Amino acid sequence: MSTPEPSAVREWRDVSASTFRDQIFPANQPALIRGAVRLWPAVAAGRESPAAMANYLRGLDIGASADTMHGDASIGGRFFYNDQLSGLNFERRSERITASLDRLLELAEMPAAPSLYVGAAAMPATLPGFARDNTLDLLDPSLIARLWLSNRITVQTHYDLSHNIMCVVAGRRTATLFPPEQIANLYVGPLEFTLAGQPISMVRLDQPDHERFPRFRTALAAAQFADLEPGDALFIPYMWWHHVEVRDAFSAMVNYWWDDTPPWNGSPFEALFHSIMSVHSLPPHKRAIWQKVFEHHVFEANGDPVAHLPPQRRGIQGKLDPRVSGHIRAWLMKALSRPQR
Amino acid sequence: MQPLPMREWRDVTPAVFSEQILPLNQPAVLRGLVGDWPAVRAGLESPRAIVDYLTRLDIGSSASTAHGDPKIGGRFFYDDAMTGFNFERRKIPLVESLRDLLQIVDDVQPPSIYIQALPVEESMPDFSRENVLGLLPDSIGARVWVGNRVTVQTHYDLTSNIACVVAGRRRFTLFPPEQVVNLYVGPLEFTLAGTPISMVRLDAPDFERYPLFRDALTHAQVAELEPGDAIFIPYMWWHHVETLAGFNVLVNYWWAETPRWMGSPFEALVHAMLAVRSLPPHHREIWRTWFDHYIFNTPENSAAHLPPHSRGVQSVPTAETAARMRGYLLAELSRADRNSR
Repeated sequence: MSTPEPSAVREWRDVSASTFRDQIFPANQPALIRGAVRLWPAVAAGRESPAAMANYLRGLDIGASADTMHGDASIGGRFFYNDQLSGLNFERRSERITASLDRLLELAEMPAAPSLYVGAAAMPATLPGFARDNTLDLLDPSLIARLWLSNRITVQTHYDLSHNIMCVVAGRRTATLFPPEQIANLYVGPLEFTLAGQPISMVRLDQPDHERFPRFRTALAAAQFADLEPGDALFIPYMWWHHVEVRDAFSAMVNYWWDDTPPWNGSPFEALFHSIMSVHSLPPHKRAIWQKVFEHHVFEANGDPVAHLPPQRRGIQGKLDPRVSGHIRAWLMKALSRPQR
Repeated sequence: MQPLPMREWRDVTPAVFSEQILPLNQPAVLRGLVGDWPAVRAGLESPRAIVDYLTRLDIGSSASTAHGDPKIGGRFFYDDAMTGFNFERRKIPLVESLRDLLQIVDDVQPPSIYIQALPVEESMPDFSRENVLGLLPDSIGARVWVGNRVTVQTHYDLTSNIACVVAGRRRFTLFPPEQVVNLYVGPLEFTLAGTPISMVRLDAPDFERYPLFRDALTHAQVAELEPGDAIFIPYMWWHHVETLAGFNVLVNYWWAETPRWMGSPFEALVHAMLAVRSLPPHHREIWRTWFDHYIFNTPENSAAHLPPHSRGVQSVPTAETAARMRGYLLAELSRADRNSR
């Protein structure tokens, strides 16, 4: 059986804020936005050399620390679980960004280098001056930019509970994306013991074990890939699975996460956990009943389930607002605190 | 559109019940099942005889008792504005309510009185020695219901149920669980007796307002029970109950086949209402695939590709893992609650 090839993520050029807002974002599909940040001074520094890039960032650094992952040379940049799945194949420490920049320049010269990955450093707390000269005009300027630095690494297929735009500042990278509904074909790892907070796919993208993970072929047929150069940006919609391969020895990326869910909305992940606890282990015929009930009340498969109730009498089925949300949370906390004889 | 008659069984032995009736997972009338109960013989004699019988067994208990004005015609429901109920519920000494019921037994337009779900082990401990069901484990306690002409609006329970008519007559109308889509369910949290009810009157359905209720009726099953008859109501089947005599006694047995520590699927539903229902529709669709993947459509375990020690919350649950999950959910809900203030 031949292995399906991912198709290319749709490319856009000369994207204005209105093009993004009115065309790209509502399509809810990944988008490769060529040259979105090509004019950033940071990108110019990255184009010059790794040393120039490091100098540029050092000039903005205020000496803060960031979450930093270290992998042995033997992992080949592939951050993952250990072989027994009892731990991780890397270590996570909080380290100063300047130290990581120095170390990355050293590692760039080494043939079989250990892996170094600085993740999600919030710019306001680390390089507060960055946003002055490097702004992404496509998004609300109040969104926080985050900095990612690494040598050649692979970020295993995972998802985020928010929309994402990643902007490549230095080093090339390839992103491979899978639609959210491919979950059943991605062989997701543990839900609560994770590499960085979110579950990952257990299948290697570079050499999938099709015998062990036969449905992964289906996922690949639905996948999209994008080769990104410095100055390019990639829009990854909410919960799209993404795998990232950094292809140069000195890489810098800046991303923006945002979520349009109001803060009083509960966490879907926690609701899923609750159902794993209380619904999943029911006998199949009872689970089938609850599927209908969830379809009706939660996923509104039959239209608005409370159209027949006066709006002010819909209770927790009414419009979710801070008051209703607080009411439901209180109800749930009381229910969960009840002794379970 | 007449409801179908319910399947009837006679001379039901424990083996027939557990091997033939229970696995069908369909409602069943068990004719004459408890015809030899002393309580049923007393009920057949006269209302006074059964009241004397129950009074003799009572150890001075009080029971949750609903009182409705004569004008509600025995139909317990919300009040017209849906801000409260059309009845009051109080804890009243059993003998007092029995005496009141006897006094009004021949009234043309009596107030409605309904003693509900009184556990016999707390009120009439000798009842279960003298009146043995024989179909269920002894650990499943009996509950007594006594009332005049009342209508219990269509609702469901999160348990399986055997209900035995001791005195009077009763009409049961049952709808399969998946009829949730056609029953116009009322508020989830503000309920008459703990679980949601249908807003549609069975005796005089307003088809203009509730057109889908016609479909529900085509799936309904109806049965009239005489003293000594019993009914099996499977888990989550909607049921509407109407008493047909001036004095009625019912004894029922609720049982759950899942351990209590698993928590309540209803609570998991409410959590999903908080966290999933109000997401933008395309995000909600993503979570639908997730709930299908992790909860509902699991031909194989969603963690079958993981070694058993790494399945975490997706392992076969135990009281300990459930307690940990409950603790996690409580902590997260409390945190969200604090942050929202």
